[in-house]
Amino acid sequence: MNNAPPGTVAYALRNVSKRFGPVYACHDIDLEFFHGETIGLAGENGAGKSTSMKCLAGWMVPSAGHIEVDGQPVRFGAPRDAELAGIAVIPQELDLFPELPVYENIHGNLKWPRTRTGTFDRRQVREAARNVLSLLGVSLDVNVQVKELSPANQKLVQIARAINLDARLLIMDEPTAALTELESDRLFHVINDLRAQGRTIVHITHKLDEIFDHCDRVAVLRDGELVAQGAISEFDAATLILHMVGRKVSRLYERRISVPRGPAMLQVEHLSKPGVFSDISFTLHGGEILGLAGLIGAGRSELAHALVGFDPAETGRIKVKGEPQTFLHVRQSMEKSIGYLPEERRSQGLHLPYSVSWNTSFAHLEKFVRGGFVSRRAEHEFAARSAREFGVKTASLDMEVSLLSGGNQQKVLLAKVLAGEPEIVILDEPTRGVDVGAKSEIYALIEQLVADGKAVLLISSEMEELIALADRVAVMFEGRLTAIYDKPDINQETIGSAASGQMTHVQ
Amino acid sequence: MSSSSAAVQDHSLLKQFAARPDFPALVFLLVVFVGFSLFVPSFWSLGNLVNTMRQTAPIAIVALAVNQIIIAGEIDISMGSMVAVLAFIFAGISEATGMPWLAMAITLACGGAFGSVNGVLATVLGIPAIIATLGTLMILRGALLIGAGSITLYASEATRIFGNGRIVGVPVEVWIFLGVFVYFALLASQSRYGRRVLAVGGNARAARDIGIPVNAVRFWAYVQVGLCCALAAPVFVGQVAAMTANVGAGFELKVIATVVLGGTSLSGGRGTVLAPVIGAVLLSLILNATALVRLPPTFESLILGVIILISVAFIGVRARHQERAS
Repeated sequence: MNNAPPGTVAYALRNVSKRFGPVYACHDIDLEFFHGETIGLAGENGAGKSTSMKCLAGWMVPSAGHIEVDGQPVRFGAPRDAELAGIAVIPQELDLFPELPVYENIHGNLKWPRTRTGTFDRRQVREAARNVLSLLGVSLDVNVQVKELSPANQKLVQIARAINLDARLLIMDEPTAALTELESDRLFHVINDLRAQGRTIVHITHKLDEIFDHCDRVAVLRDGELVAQGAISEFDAATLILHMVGRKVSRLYERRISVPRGPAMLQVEHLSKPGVFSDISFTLHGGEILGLAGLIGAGRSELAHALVGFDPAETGRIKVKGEPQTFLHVRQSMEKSIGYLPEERRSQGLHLPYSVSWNTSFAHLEKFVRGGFVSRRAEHEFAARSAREFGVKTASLDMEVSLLSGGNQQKVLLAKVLAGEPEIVILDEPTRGVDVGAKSEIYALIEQLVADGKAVLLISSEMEELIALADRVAVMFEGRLTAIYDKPDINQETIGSAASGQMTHVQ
Repeated sequence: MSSSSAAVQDHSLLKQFAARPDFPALVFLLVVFVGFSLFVPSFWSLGNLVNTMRQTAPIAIVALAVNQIIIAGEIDISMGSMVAVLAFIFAGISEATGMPWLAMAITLACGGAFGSVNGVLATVLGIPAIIATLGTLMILRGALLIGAGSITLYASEATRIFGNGRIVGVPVEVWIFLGVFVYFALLASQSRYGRRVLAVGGNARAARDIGIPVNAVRFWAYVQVGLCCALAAPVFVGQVAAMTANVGAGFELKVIATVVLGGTSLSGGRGTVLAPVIGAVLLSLILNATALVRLPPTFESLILGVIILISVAFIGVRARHQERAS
């Protein structure tokens, strides 16, 4: 590794700008990265975080300015150059090879060692992979195919590959996006070890508490410019958010509207699916937000899939407004006024290459039929109205939805789900990967739903979200419903302990 | 994280073996083999088995290369026309010069060139693979029909050595197949290129991000298909003796069916070197047995279609089952 003392500058961006046509994606960024530190990089989507980091990692060549490594100016023409300089990127999405074993993934694109007979020396590669993993304090079977690992372990394999290349600067983009809180804690443990070894970690995240809990310094970007940086002790949540959005935003979110609990809309009785979830019972009322908490893999999404008929349960009953229903297909649940917002907007929810207007209307095309044909005009009018209502920021309704930011994509998806005016709305991670500003807008939309008397089941891995929004919170652990809390009892500790199976009492 | 480590512990050798993509095909092959041995008369005769091997050889030779291209996440459907044109090139040169080995060398060069054209179309020009190779499929066949449409080509004994001769008692085409198989087996397990093919097919973006030259990997996969067609063409010439410009029509589909039957996933990133071999042997065995029980050859296409659907449906059900289990 390197022997430089902690606190000296390892890498730096010097007045780096990146221009696309007339637009600056980042402008005049001057930022230092010290040995042995974790630096948080905060900013809304489109603030220039990715662009500046891509310049640092050699994925893009800056339009102006340069990179410094140990005080020497360098020029990265390709990612490989940055890799040789000790810079590695751990992207948010999985950049591994699912069919290949762990050790080959860690080995990556390195040269294969040979045995005396000229064959691949797999033993040596396996051994190297094991060494790297033990350096991270992780025990994993290196022979297992990566597709069989949990998202958390896959993340660790990504990190292991970077360490195997002897990376001294790790740029992590939303490393905990797909992880539960427990898994995230474990990941931060690993990150802290890496920092103690003198490595530098750049932590890009939307989760402010991660920045406060785990970063030594923080840098905030807004509209392509570096607007603030400093030791974490100089910031609190309010000032950080103020820097990020450039305007004052209340804490995370305060609920404004609370309506009396309405009639039972959805009753779930002893719903089971062997190996996935068992004996789930709860009632969802009109005018309430019922949160559904739990670790990833606790069976929450699978339960939602059973409720809407994607993947039906095997035993138990579902009643909508008192009437027993069997949903074997999504159409059936849609007809009974259930709307479902899937957790993966890109792969499960939206048709990325199509327009905003197309995406908004297509789940309910029957509403736009005029004289036997789908009326473009009716579709367009509806899309325009939804875009206004949901605050979708887009240059045109004919724009490809893939070009929108994550937050705006999520609003389009929400508009699509609500186009059928469902009375029961199931939201699966509605704000994942969405920036702070868009988040509070989505929260306001959710709140409006219950104000209109609709029933909302809110599946979320973010406790703050549940605490801010939910009237009641149900918690799942390993396929069972372990607790349901009413408003006064909803807090980090109660949910956390129920979600980790440390208590079981259903009210 | 505890849930995943539990899943990880249960990883016996047997389980790993059963998780191989070609496992169902292998079991199927064993069942068919044992079944035919018991119930089909004269199946177990040496002559019949050698015959089966010979029939298998040209398909298997090409299927080994196509297997690679499918694992790399690409597809090539121009094999039927490539083999036909290359067969005419080979036979023409061999007849003209009387030197089959020279003809073979030139045929290989032409095959490599055809494959390169496919590779350029699909990688440099970025034409979707199925369209690019559909284009070459039609152009090559069209050119052959224009140039040799009226000819029936009869090959001499010398020209037929690659599909009608023997070396140490083993048919030449079986030797060629074995050579190609060893090449691909080593390529897959012992070469950097072979690992890269899996990586590119499994996750092309990730492969690019860690510096694998994705287009170069794909390009070479196309060249390999061209080369293997060039190896199969002289075998064809040797086996059929007389051929017209329609030779090898539909061959490409048989080859792809073979690869899929063996368990290689059409979506890329998942497959083994054995898959096309198992698939080819399986196909040949079944066709051979239908002939032995005196079903007319008109049934061939129907039987193939049914088998392919059954086996692929089985693979799909199994995948879903595994998904659920994990």
